[in-house]
Amino acid sequence: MLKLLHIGDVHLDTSFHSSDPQLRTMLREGLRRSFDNAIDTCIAEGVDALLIAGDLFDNDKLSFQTEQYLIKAFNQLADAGIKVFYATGNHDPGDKSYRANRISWPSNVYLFAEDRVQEVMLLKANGEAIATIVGVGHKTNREARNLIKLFPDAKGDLPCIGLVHAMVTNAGGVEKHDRYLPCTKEELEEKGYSYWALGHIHIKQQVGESQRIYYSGNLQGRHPRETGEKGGLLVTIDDFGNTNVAFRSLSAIQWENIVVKELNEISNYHDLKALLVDKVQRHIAEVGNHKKLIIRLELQGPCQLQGELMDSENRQQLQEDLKYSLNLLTVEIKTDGLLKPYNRKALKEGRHVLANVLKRIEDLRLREELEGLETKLINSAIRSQQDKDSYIRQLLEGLEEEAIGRMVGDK
Amino acid sequence: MKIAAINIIDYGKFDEKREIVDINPRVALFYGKNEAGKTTIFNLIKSLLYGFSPARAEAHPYSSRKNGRIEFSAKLTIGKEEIEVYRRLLSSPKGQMFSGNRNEELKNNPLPFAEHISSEIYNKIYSLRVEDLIEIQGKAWEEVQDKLLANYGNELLRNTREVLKELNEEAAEIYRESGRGNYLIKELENKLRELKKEKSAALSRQEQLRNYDSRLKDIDQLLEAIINERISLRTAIKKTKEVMPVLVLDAEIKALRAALVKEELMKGLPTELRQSLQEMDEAVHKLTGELTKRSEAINNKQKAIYEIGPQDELILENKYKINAYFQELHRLKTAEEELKRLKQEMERTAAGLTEEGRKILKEESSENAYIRIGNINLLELQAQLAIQKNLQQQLKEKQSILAFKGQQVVTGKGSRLYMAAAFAAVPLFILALLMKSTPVLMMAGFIGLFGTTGLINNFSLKKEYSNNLAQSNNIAGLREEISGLTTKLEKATADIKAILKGVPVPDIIVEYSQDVFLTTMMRIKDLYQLLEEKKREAESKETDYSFLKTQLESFVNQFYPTEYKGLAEGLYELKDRLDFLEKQILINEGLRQEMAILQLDEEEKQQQLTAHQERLQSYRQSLMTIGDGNIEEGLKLLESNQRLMSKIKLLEERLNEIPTADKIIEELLLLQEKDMIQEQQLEKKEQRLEDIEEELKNLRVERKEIEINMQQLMETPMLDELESHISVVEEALSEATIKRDRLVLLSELIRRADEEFRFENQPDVLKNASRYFNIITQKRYTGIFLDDNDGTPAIYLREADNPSPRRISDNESKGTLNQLYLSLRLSLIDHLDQGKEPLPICFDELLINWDEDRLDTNLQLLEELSMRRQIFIFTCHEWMAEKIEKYFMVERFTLN
Repeated sequence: MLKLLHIGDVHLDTSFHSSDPQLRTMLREGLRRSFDNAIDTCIAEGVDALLIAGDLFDNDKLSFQTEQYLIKAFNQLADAGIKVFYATGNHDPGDKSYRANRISWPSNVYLFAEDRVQEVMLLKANGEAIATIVGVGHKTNREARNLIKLFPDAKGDLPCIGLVHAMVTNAGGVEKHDRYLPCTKEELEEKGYSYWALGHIHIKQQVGESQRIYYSGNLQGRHPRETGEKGGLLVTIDDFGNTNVAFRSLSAIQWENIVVKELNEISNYHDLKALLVDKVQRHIAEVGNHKKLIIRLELQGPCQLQGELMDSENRQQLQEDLKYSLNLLTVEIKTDGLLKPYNRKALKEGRHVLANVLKRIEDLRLREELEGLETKLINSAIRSQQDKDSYIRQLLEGLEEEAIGRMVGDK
Repeated sequence: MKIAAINIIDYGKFDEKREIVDINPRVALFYGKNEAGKTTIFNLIKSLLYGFSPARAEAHPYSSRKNGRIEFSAKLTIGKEEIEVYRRLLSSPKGQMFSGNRNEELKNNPLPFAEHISSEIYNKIYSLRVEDLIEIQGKAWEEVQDKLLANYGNELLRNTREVLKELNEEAAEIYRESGRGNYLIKELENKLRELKKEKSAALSRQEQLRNYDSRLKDIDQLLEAIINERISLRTAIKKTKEVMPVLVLDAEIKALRAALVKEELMKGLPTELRQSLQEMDEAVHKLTGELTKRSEAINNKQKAIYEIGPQDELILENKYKINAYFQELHRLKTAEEELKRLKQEMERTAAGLTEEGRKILKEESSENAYIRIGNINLLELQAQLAIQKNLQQQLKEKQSILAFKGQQVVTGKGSRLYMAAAFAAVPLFILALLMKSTPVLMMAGFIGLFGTTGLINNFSLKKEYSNNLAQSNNIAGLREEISGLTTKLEKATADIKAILKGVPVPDIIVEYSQDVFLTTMMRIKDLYQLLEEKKREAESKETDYSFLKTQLESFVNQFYPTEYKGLAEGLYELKDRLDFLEKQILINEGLRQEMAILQLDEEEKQQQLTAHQERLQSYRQSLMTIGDGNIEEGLKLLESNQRLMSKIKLLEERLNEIPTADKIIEELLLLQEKDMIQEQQLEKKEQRLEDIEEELKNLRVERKEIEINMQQLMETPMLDELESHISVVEEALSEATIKRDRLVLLSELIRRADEEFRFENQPDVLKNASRYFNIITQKRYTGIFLDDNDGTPAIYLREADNPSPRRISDNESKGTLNQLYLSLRLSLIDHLDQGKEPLPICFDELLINWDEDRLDTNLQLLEELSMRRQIFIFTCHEWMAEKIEKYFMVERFTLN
């Protein structure tokens, strides 16, 4: 029986887009603990090999310390007689100038650094071959070819395992990822492999119907959009070639996103806090609280406290209160979606400047061409009229609320 | 809305109840000097309409000075409806509105029919002062613009100009095209530049870390290689150092041995021979001198020995006798003295004897009498004397009884003597024991015996007498007794004499002086015995003395055959001579012993001398041989060889101290490349070892430094942390950019909407204003227009006789401007109240500067206005008050 742990997109030494240095430190450490968990799982499960499907780290940010850390971790596996097969990805390409190629990896690590497909035998300690690992790396950070086509079909009695950092164009969640090493699930299925260990898409998923092609997803969410449990896949292939895949939660920190809309009746801080505590507690009860959680609360819709919540100090206070009330790692509150509790219809239909403003915003949004605006924009990313149109449409998002917020009232 | 009456309880300076009733519904005229309360009335109207601001009495400027509160009520008419409003301000505001049976809580809220105009707008627009009309230009004109054209149509909305200003200010906080001052994007860009610099530094640090790591690995390899070389070198050096001394010593020994000369000839010669020869010469010289001294000493001793002659021999032979007789001479002298003393004692005893004899003897005592007395048994005599005496006493008593019949006295005289004798004997006895004197003892015994027997006899006599006295009652019996007693007495006396036979003692003494007699007898006897004893002793001593003397003299005389020296002198001389001789013999003995020692020493030294001389001879002979006839040369050669030998010996000892020396020498004999263990090689190796140690030290120092540097570098911010920070700043920058662009976009949209609104609403206001302007300018101007002039709104006036509008300028006459402003303001008020309850307006000295014609036309306009809304006019000018009263047919309210 062959036992493997498939992980990918660890992105060690990645940057975290949080303004809180403490949280950034926790996330960085959390990522390491997640990788530690993967190593521990390998040893505890007695796997034959650890498969790393690319993007183990971010090439340009990889620190010397993390290099040492990785070498130490792989040496631990070497001590336990576990091999490591590591196919480079677009963030950790394998050409000579890149770090993945320059590190002196321990002898139990096989690096697929080249853009040519390689077949490597997975041997037991007694020299018995138990599987063929077929892999290809990203030589550069711009590998846009479909290298899957170069993979050989499965042959012989040994299980054949594919290892690659690729974008299966008809897999889920691909729209958020660049098209590196694109391929289709059909192409993968056609090879007849016992298992495909894929990396690149950060959402764990089975590709196709064969139950032999998987993205492991990343080890730990890097930002509020990468929510839920993260980890690796424990792959078992029995002597009859049956493949069994089980998810193992490995992340030390978990992101959760909760949208709260029922804020119409909330008129004071106490009620708001109580509502949010209740919402978060219900959510934790659903996802389980065995991990360190980072909760993001997206407050949406009309709210009498919109003005107060737009104030960053008030928001921060609420975040701190919730963090301590719920014993969470951190809580982030987004209030962009909050609206003032005004009758927008009445305001639009009124006989005053605001009505004119709102009408103009609406007109602009509906217009196909936005030429004629005199606004001098400073965004350096705007290079064409198209960019400008697109940018202005972005600026128009929520501008009605902004206009109402600023013009209504007696400041 | 019209105000019909005001009932002031407390308001500002009006702190006493004051009722202002029957207020004209069209024009209300208030007349009063400055500070009389005109402004107070206007504010009261504002409070009536809008409540209190601020809403606390202590903070409100119109709290009554006296009571610190505000309280008033007013009657209003809304169309045909009559309403009463009550407001009060203490610590909190209170407000009520009564309308028919309806009672509505106002609290501090505006009156429901005034809500379409905010209190601020009411304050700014509905109160018209003369200053407002003068300051129509510049800033005031902008205000007019706002008031005319902005969004006062909705009470919820803020001033568009303020909003735009706020937006532009906020946008400028984020970004300024000029690049001047501090703004957010500039700060963020600076921060970003710093962070990128830091990132660049962090990248360098990472590169440095990797270089250090690489160098560490190189150092570790170098260290390993060098340590291995060091181990090899140390082993080689150790071996070389082990072998080197053996080799060197062996070579040195061999070289020294080769330098030896006539080694065989020098065997047995001592080291330091030169010195030995010298010392031996000195010793021979010294010994010779000493031998001479010894011979002299022996001779001297010999001479000192005493020669003993024949006489001396004889004395010495009789040594013991001389000594013994010398001792006897002393005894002889003693015996002589003893004899002399005895003779003296004998003389004294003989004299005592004679004396005692005289006491009791009839004649000069003779030798025989003493002999006789000496033979008498004194005890017997004593007993007889006692009997005699007793009989004498009894006889005496019987004779007394017989003479005096019945008057007899028994005296105890006799018994008293006995008692005294008995008592005297005791101390005498003790004395005799102490003195150990036989005569005294005897005397004591005698006296004691006398006392005791006397007492006993006396006692028996007394007893007998008593018995007799009782029984004999007759004289006959008594006489018989006397006769008997006399007979007895005579017999007793005869017995005594018998005892004293041959002793010439008078009877009287015997018969009547028994006690004295007996004592003397006893003394004589003792003395005589003593004398006899001394005689015998003297005779004996005399004999001994003579014998001894003869013997001594005979002995002494043999030494002095020719002359007699006298016994003592001779013996003393002999004794002295003997002592001298004995002493001399001892001295001679000592001298002889000393001589023997000296002789032994002499012999020994002689032997030494001989030995030295022989050895000297032998050594000189050897040296002669070695030195080919020259002793000095030989000596030099010997010394040279000896020095070499001592060195060889030393080296051999050192060689022997190396346990493996033999083995090493054997190995060396077999070794081909002997130069390998040359000293030069060793030095090279040691130099290399030193270099290695230095290299090791340097490498270790470098390693330590690298480790420290690495540790320090590893503690610096990590790249990912900086990246995170950069992305945060980039995000902030992006957000700031978007925010700024949004603000600018919104600003443009609001500005455009505002223009549009103005464009849409301007005609009504201006149309109305044109009509008012036409009236008050007596139809001189027919219209007012607004237009943009290069983006700046400007007012144009159309004159009655000029078809093209004229833009008003800074040179426009003040009067025209005042009229224009009033027209615009009144038109604006109409516009604001459009479709709602028209609120009262207040003119504060508004018309004071106008000429007569203009004033009239203005009053004409006010008359028209008062048809729709109540006008409050405040003035301090009498003429004005009168003019208004006259024109509007109203009465003034005079304020004091």
